[in-house]
Amino acid sequence: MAILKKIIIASLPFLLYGCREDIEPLIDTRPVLCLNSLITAGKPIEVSVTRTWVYTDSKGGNDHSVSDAKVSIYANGNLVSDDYLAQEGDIIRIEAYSNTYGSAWAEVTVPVATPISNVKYTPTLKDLWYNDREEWGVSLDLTFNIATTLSIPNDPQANLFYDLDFTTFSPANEKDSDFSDDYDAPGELLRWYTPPSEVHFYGGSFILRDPFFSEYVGAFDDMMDWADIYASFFSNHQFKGNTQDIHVDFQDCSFRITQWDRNPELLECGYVFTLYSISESYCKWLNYRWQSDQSLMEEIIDVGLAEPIWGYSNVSTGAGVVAAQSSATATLNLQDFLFDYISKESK
Amino acid sequence: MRRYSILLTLLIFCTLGLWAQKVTVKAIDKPAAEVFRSIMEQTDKNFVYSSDLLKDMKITVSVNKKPLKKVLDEIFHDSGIKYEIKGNNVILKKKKSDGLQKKAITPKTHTETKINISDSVRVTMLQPVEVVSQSENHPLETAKLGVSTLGAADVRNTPALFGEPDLIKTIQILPGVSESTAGIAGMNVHGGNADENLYILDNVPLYQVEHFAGLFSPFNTDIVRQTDFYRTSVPARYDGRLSSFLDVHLKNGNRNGHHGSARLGLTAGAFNISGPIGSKTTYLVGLRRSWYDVFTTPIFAIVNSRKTEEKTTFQYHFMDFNARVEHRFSDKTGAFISAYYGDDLLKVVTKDNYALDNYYCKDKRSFNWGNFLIQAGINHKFRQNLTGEFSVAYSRYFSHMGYDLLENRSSARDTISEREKMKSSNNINTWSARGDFSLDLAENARVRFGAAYSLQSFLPDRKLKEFTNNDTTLVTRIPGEYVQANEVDAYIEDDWKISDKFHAESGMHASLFNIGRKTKWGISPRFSLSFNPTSSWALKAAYSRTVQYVHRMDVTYLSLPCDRWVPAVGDLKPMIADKIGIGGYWQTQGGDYAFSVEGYYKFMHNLIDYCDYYYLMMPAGDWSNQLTSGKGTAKGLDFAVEKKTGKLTGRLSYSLAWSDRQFANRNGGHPYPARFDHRHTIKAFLNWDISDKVSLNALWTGHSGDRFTLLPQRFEVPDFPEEYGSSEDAPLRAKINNYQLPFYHRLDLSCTVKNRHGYWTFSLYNAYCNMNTIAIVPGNTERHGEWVENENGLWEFVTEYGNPTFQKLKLIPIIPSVSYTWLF
Repeated sequence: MAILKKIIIASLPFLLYGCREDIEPLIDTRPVLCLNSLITAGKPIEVSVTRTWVYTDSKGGNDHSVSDAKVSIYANGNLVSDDYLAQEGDIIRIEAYSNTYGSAWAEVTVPVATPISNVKYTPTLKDLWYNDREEWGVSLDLTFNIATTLSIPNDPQANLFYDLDFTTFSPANEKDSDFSDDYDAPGELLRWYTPPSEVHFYGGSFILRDPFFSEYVGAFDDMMDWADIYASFFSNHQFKGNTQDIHVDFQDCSFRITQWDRNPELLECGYVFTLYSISESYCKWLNYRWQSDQSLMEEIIDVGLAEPIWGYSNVSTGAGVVAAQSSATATLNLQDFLFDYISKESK
Repeated sequence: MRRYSILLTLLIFCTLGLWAQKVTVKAIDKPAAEVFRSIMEQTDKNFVYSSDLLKDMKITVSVNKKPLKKVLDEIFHDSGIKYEIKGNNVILKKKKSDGLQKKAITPKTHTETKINISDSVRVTMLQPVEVVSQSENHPLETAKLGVSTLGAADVRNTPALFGEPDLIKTIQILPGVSESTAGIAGMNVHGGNADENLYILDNVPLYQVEHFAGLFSPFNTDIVRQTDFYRTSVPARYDGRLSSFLDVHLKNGNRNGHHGSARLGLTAGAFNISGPIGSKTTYLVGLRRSWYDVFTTPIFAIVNSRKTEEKTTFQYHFMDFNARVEHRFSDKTGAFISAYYGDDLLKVVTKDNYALDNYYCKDKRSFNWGNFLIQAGINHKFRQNLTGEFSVAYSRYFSHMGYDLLENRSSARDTISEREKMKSSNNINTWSARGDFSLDLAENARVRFGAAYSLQSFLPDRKLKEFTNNDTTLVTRIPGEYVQANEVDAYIEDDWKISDKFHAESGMHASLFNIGRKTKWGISPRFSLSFNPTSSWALKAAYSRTVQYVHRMDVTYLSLPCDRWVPAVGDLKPMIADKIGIGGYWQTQGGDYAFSVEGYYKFMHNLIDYCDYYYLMMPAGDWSNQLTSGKGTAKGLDFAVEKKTGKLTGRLSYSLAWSDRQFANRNGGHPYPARFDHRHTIKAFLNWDISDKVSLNALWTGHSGDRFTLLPQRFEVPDFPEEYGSSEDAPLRAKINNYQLPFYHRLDLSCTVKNRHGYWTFSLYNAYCNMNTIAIVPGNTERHGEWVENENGLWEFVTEYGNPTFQKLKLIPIIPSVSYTWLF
């Protein structure tokens, strides 16, 4: 609710009549090394080494590089070369040393990918109509909702963390990007080339309603609509049993086909789900980003009424994040559902 | 601004006049206590006496507009009782070597004692009656350290924010007590946390003690008779919190007639009335309620009347309702039933109605949190020296947040109706029964003992979400579970005046706390010893242990409905504090001046707090994994000088204190200073009775700044794929409370002007407008913007941000306020 959000933001400082005054606090600071790395199973390991800086240090600009850093990477206790491909289950330790900024290290376990064992979906047709698009021809338009259920195995004894991602796919309209021959003709309007059959699929807006998708969202954030943007990371802490269903709803999806020539391949569209098994450090970093960007807490901290929170880090110096991930994918093809309706309508 | 503030202050002071005051009282064979109430309500004097001094004493008196001293002379003439007026106190003592003394204090005799005074008769009950018996807690009379008893006048005379008399704000001016952030919420006693103070309303603990995010306490001061505040020596009958115990007693119902008061201030209004129901029953009803919604409701109605498509209503109020009925079955047996309900309610409703687009949306959000309690009890005098009280009570702390969002969209082809509801609950239900007894073993020895059982049901967090799309409903929930606890308490304490020079108080409180399948226990011994070398000197030493089984988890410095009370479940042990105190007290011969120094050392074990990165723990609903255990110490010295007599009275206090904490999973396991580690605190309170009708009060508070966690460094954020967060850097961790904010100081002034029907209270909070720093936050130097012509010849406004800086965040300027109290 936008009004409530505005009221809270406006009233916190206004009611208490705040004002600000610059200050140079005398506090001892010493720059330390910062390590950042996202280790992906099957890929080489890249590490970014920088240094921390004082917030008010505008002289340093954006150059926080470290020129004299030496980085060592260990896999399962053994020093490995920089072309080593991380494997699922590896314990990766990254150490860095600089004469100027000291040392830093972090350790992470590359998670084992959790397969998506089953994908089910329930379509709900909302609307279907013909649309005369003049020179583009007559198109058939559908709008619908898709409720999907992804099943994954679960190990109740393990602390597992995930991030769910998805993309859509549809038949490639190779000519979509072509222009007509008279593209450059002076005085002519630009005109798209009309293929014999044009397909457009829009995957709709997605909704993640399982409680584990919002377990990091406090009730206060929920109330204030600070939770408008639900993130896609979650843990298995609320899973029960050896398998778990994940529900993803897509609403207001649309499909348009023009001048269908009954080629079923043109109806091949849907979603590719990618389930990332992520390290706890990655999940906490994502959570930190969500909290510092979306949560009401940040607003309250800004007006000095809560203890400041610092950036998440699993590096010994407190600067940077060393995370790891592996992934599994599954595809949901809507071809059958579309074929049923479109062929029925086209008779 | 500051200069104008001071001028305004002086102006208010200089325009006030002087009036004389006299006492009118009529009583025919009335209990002495009732007569004193009548005098007190006209003079604001407290009557201080031993509880057994006036047992069953009855007085017949009739005076009209006589000076207080003359009235007292007449009342106590030949009574065996002498009196002294010291400041706001009238101290009553037995006359030594006076044959009538025994008459006065021996029940069989003094029930017959009558003191007849004749004069013209006119009874004027100006305000609710109140009697304060402070003898038990007078520094030279008691063995206890760090004990204060406050009457209604003390609260009334304390300058307060928005002119709303506030009990906790009055407590905050005592030595050893710190106010929380900028005086907004709560209090910290001797280096303890805000949730380590037990607030008891007529023997029943309250959990939610702050209205309006902490600006006001829930006690309707117009009906509070007396408040006992223990911060070092704690009687064994109290336990359950580590730092302090605030025992609030409501007034007794008025037996002489229906009297009360009505008050209207800038933020709230209050009304109370009490009186007799028949000859043996009395009642007391009090209501206090804020009245912001009186403004906001019509304002929103006017604004909405001009709109057709978007309408918003906003409502906020806090309220406190108290009711108490007492009945005397006989001289020996009485009963009472009392109830309290207090809550805060915030409700916002928006309606969007776009008829052309066939769109309708209604969004209702509400927050409601507070306390409800009801109790009934019976008291009985079993023997002349044994009294007892049995009571049963039910209390409920609740916090509900929820929204109900309804959205209808329709088109020629279909209609979509969606509804989303969320409800979040956090509450504690407590059923309790207790019995308390008092046994006078001898004239100089008294024993109190009792036992209590309570069944507590905690629901720290439960969230239910429901989404309905046309006919399909999806329900998700964060399944909070009720945690039930059984608590059994027993105590015994004695008060033994060993000789004229030695006085001892000791006791033991034992508790069992059964939760889940685990039973936790605590033994809390208490001991205080006083040595009086002369009648004006006292030296004391005390030890007390306190045990706390519940803890409040709050993430902000405000009091919000998302704060959660949680019990010590699983492997969490109850929090324990061992406190050692010593003190010296001296007062001048006439009692005009008093000096005290108290020292304490407090060891705290099994403290509970959030661990580092608690807010990143998954899932958020599982609160127990967000906590860590640790320890802490607090030590300090409290000095106080008081002037107790004359028209100008007051107290100057200085506290020197240290407080630190250490937790296994907080601050990397390293010790750190507590947030309210105020090394130096100075408080000066002055009360000037310019006349019987006008009094001025001033309170200056100054203390070392709060400790604050300043995060001076940044680090580059990783370049991970993610959907949220735009900042390119993040704060680097630092030691907790590594920075001390600037010295805090503030002057509050108030003026009370009495008239025939009541009194006005004018007050200035932060009179010289020193806006104190409450935090250091990152910011930028002033932004600079100008219109610039770009390369395409277009003008655009370009904003340049200055260099990053740290900035003091300063809050709360001068706040003037006024209220009027009508007495009837």
